[in-house]
Amino acid sequence: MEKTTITSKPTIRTPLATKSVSVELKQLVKKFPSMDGGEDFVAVDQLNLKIDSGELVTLLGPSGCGKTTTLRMLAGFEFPTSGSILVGDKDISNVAPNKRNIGMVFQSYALFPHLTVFENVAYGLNIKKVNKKEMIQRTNTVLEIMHLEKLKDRPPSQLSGGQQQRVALARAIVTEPNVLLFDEPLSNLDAKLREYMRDELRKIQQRLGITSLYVTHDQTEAMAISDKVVIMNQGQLQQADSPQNIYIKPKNHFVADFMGKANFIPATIKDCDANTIRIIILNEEITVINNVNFSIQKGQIVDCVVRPEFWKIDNEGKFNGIVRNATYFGNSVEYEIEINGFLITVSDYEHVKNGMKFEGDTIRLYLEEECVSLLEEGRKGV
Amino acid sequence: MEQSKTTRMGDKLSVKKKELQALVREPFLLILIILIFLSLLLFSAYPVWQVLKATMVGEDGLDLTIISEQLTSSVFLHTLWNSLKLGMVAALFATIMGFIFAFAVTRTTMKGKKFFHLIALLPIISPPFVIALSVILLFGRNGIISNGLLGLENTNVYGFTSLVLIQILAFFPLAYLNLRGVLESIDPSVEDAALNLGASRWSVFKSITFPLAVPGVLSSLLLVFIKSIEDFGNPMVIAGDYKTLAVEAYLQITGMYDLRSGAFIAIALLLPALTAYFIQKYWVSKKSYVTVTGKPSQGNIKINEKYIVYPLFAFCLLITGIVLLFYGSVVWGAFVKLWGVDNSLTLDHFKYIFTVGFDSIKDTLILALASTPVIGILGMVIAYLLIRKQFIGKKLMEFFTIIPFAVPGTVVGIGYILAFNEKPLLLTGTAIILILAFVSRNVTVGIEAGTNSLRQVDRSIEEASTILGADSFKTFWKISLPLMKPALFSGLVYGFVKSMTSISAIIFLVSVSWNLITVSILSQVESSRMGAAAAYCIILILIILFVISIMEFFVNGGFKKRRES
Repeated sequence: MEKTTITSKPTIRTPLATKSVSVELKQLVKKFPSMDGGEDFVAVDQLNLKIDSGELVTLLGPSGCGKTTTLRMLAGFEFPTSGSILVGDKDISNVAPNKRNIGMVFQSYALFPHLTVFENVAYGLNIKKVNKKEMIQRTNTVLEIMHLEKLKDRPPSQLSGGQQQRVALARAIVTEPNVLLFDEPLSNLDAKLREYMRDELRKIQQRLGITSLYVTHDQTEAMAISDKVVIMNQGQLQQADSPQNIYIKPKNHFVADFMGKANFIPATIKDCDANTIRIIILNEEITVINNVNFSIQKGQIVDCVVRPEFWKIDNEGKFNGIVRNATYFGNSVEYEIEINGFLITVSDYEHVKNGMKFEGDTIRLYLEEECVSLLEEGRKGV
Repeated sequence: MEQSKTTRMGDKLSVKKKELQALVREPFLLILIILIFLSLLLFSAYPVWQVLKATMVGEDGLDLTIISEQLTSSVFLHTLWNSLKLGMVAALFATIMGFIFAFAVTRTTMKGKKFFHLIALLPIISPPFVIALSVILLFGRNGIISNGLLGLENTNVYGFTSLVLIQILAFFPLAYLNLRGVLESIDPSVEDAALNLGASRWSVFKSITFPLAVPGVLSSLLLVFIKSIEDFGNPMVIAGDYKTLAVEAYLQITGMYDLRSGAFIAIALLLPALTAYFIQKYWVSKKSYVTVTGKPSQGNIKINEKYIVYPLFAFCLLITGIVLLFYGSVVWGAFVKLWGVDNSLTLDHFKYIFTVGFDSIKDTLILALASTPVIGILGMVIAYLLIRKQFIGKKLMEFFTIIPFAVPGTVVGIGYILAFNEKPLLLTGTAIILILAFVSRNVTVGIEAGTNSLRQVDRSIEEASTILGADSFKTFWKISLPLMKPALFSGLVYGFVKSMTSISAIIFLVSVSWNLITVSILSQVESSRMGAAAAYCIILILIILFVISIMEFFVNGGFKKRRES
């Protein structure tokens, strides 16, 4: 039922007149006084972030990393302890939340349970005292964009999760806000619908060209939906970059570990020039791209980040290993392989071609050298 | 170190400053908070302070003679002990009865649960001394049981035994409702798990159900204890020589014109009541095992063994039978010419109260109808402020709102005559003072219901309204208040019922121009006009039922199309 109502492509008859603006967070700090009079809890620590106009930026991190607090400061529900929030070129850090012209989609959707779908969507227009004719017309337009025309007289309790989600989005965009905020909007949906709504959200955001900040703890979702991903941990920004760079070129162990499975393998620097670095890893010599952000010298020990799928099972491969464990996942097989006494994780997506390997088998592996990135030696998986 | 400490202080201050700025941005909200504060201070805290002051300050300054006089008076000590004894006995038996009732209704397959539930509610919505009145009708000198059936002459129903029986019957519904809530919220799968592990029904009860319900039992004990020692109507009618604090305070003031002794007795009543209240509110309720998960609990296997269900059923039947007998005798009494002497039917009593006694009905109705909306809306507004807004002195506001509720009516009544007896606050004898007393005394229940229901409303629903451009007032009016409708309804109903039926506080405040039904009933009883008293009770109960159903109509649906949730 969900499928039939949403598979047709959304069309916009009267595009919404959203004015795209950039957002900038400068030296943003939020401290919460501790209950027992001890040290204050620093929820957001010196955060600098720029969201270009029309861009969708995701704040990603484990719970308690400060991402939601950041979002709520932008919405106006929390006051920054210090720092400023610029929307366009206006500092709004002291503006009341109801005067900010920012739209928000809440984790729980926060639909008004006593109002119908239409009344929910029209609420913001009524508050802004838009005249009745325009109110009805604009509400209907948005309901159409979101494929909700048929449901407009229903109370939220009679809608499915996906439908509620769309009402929440409709309500947030109908007032043509400058900025749109998403607070883990998909976390209440089941896995299949979540993927569908994720793509739908992205399409509508791009169509409207509305500057958006999106909070999630799901790294797949973040990579799929964003122009830029911002990884946060303990209130601090770890890395702000394109999804590709975040995944392949993590700047530190935390980012590497948070974005998915990773092998952290120690290696020794043998030689380097402006573009490449030669390293010894697991007794073999390889050449990787030089994009390190720390100083290196010959003989130094570094950590290599290698995602499990960057290892290929290949009879011509340099590396010789013994299978210690194999787990079948359907789309891939995950192996634990011992190379020179070091245990690594390998994902084989071509297991049909390569054939299933079993515990004790010896295999040769090839490493995609351009996908290896180097980190300063340090604690693994912070 | 010193440095970091000062910056931290600075941060905290700047957070406070920002909060304040947020309030200043909504000046009306700020004004509203200040207004509520001032009225709470004036009408809740100040009168109680006046009572305290009266016991310690005489005409020539500090004067503790009243205290030393009373503390050494054997009459006073005896009265104090009387009240405490009464409270403890009534609390014990009312809680046992309430528990059995609640257990039977929530845990067995017994028939007639709805009926038992409705009958148990009867004592709650009726004026406090209907049962006392019916005890006189049944067991008094001309009682149909004592005199009519058993042929006893000159029976004396007045005294401790009657009083405690009446209070048990009048207050067990409180324990029942409280324990029913507790038993219902115990996750049934815990009991099922015990059964599954091989426990018998009895050991499940002994080792699971009862231990989990203990906080509820304790809070019922304390609540009934408070109700019992505060009770004015029943002891006034039936206690005879058995003196209690609430009645003595009243008699000292209206009979002996000794305001200060009355005030002292009221304080003696205040201390145990307040202690019990705060133990209940801040200690027992924290011990509660009840976990609110929001998930509807699965219906567990109800007890259907005959040897358990039948005795419980018989018990419930007996209790409801007694309640019905008592209320029935009041109805009957209203239509009988002269109870026990001339049993012919008549409408004279109704004619009497609709002519001579009509003023008090009219006055009561006017005052209750004026107070009820204020009680309802104010309760919701304060609940909203307490739960959703940050402001300095929030804890103090919360404390102020529970004072008049936790403080016995007698103390509030005396406090009001002390506080509002002089210009510029000369209010005694007016309708205003009665309305103020009704509002301040009864708003607490609305606040409690409001805060409970707001806690269950996802805060982001209001944030959604805010970010769409609504200020606090619009958000309250368009979003929060509609979502608090059930709480508003219970606030309104409670406010109305209490305004119509209370007596302990307002008996000090009534005047020639504003008299109330409950006071009229009392004076009818005192002059042995039982028929008229009974007729008043019936009219009162009918008015209450009528108004509740009208409120139900307006608050829950009615003109607005009903939306199923």
